[in-house]
Amino acid sequence: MAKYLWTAATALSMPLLAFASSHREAPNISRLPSLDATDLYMFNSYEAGRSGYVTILANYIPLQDPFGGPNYFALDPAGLYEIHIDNNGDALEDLTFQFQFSNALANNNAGIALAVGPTGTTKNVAIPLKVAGTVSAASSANLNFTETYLLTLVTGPARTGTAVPITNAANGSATFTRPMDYIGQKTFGSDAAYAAYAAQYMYNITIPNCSMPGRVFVGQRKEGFVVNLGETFDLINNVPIEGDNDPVYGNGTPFPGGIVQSASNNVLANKNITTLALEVPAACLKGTGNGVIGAWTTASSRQVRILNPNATFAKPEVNGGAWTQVSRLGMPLVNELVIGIPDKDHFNSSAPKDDAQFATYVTNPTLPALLNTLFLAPVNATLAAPLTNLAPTNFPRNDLVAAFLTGFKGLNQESTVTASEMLRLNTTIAEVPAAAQKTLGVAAGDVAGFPNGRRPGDDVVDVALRVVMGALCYPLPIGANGAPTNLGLCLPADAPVGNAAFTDGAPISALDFDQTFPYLKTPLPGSPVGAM
Amino acid sequence: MSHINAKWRILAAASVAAASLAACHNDHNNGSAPKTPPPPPPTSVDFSTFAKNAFAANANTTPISLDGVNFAFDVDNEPTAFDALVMSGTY
Repeated sequence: MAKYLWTAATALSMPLLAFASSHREAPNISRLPSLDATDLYMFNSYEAGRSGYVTILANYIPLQDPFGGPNYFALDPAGLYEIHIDNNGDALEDLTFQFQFSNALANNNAGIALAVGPTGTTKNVAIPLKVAGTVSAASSANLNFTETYLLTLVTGPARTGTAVPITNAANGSATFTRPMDYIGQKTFGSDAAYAAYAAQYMYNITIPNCSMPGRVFVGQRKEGFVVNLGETFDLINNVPIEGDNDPVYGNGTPFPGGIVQSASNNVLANKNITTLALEVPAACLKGTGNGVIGAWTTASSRQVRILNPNATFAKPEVNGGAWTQVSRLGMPLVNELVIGIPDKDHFNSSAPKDDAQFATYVTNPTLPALLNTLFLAPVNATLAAPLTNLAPTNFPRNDLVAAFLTGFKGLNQESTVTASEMLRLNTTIAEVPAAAQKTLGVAAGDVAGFPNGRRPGDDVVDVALRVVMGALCYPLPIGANGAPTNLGLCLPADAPVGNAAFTDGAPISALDFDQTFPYLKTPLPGSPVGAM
Repeated sequence: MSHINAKWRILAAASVAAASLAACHNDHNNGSAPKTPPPPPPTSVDFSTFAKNAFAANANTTPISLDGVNFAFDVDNEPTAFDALVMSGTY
């Protein structure tokens, strides 16, 4: 039987799966990159001395080339960025952290100007760049462009609840600054100098109704998501089964011809991202529930946008009307892997409380069915094999309902739960230091990892691949001392290739990241060439 | 005046003939298809009015649904609409 599994996996090669956690995942949001949520992380803080805190990272603006000047990657000043928390399992937000950005040029939006021309008849002319010289932690005087934001906590419904500003714990200010993107080493001096410059914009914050301070940082970071994207889009131009006996990704039986783990398989290695990072005491998030919290991030724009035919920096357009949601992200890969393309932008505009409308995509997923249709006959012809299905046959797919819509009882499920898509974290499960984390999370016996929340070093692509093909139908090492435990959601017989070591070959580890807030690393510089 | 009336009579006759031919053609093509009346056209909503109302809505209200809305565009009759709305500074 093992022979059948390996050979079947070779033949199917997993086409049609396209993974990029949520980068440009839907037709309409791909036109609005500054509002496009790409990844959401939520985990019990594992920075030394921060036990009892929860870190939430919401990434926006996908696929940033570090050299993307001269304007780089400002957030949308007409947008509303939100992180929602459901702490009682009713699929409604109980807390919402709102970020609203503003930007300005130096000199009251006139910009930095240079005197140009013959002596005596010079003219002051605005420069075309966002900096006019070097910038450091000590001096930002040469910045021609600044970006600030307000941070608000809404208790109750996001639009009608009680909104109170979050303030700087040091001085009471309600206005925070976002550091300029990492233009390059000549502007900022070095990676270390940029890190020091950016670090001064990490704030201790006073959160309403919370006795302990939290932290906030918004700024550019090195993209933390890893994926073998190009080959995946090219009809999976590889065999996505572990090809050697990698101790992390393998299952003890190397598959001849399978992909081998290599950092070169991560096509996002040279990209940056923009991170909205919060660290909040768990006690201030979990409300009256059992300690499990659900989170999702959204971005909204006002419903009406009128373009200014005489656009200026200050007024390229005028926006009005109700906030209208255009991006939504909770669990990684849902809008890519599960939701059909006609509904992707509808999903982006929807709320978890209404997720019943998408249930069929989860209970009867299309991708395993497509794989089965395309490859069952060739596989059986090649092997003279008796396989009747490559895709799992347990319908409705309650294993995927648990993974995506309810969480797992005893792990990351609220006492009462409303089926809805969000990232769920049990705040009562102790954090695991970076060096001890397992990148396959719960599937590898590390219950502090994905899908119990999501840490930067969790390989959600490989976990999702394995879960979709039926990994949850096999025992997981989550019992006492790692004892194999059957989840009771389905049986091995339901998932003929559910125990194969599916992987995209792009490895990731918690040690690839910082071990202090905001965990994602200093961004890559725009120059010099070769530094990226 | 009589010249104009004659012209209208010719146009009306031509229209009736064209309509009859079209009906004949449809009957021929449709065979035994049931003859149910066509659904009434959706009510048209003036786009400018809709946009102004949407623009004026409070940010924290529910967005106005576009489902089933059939817009009528009459912007050519409102050359000063942008100036009146945007440049007036009343937004």
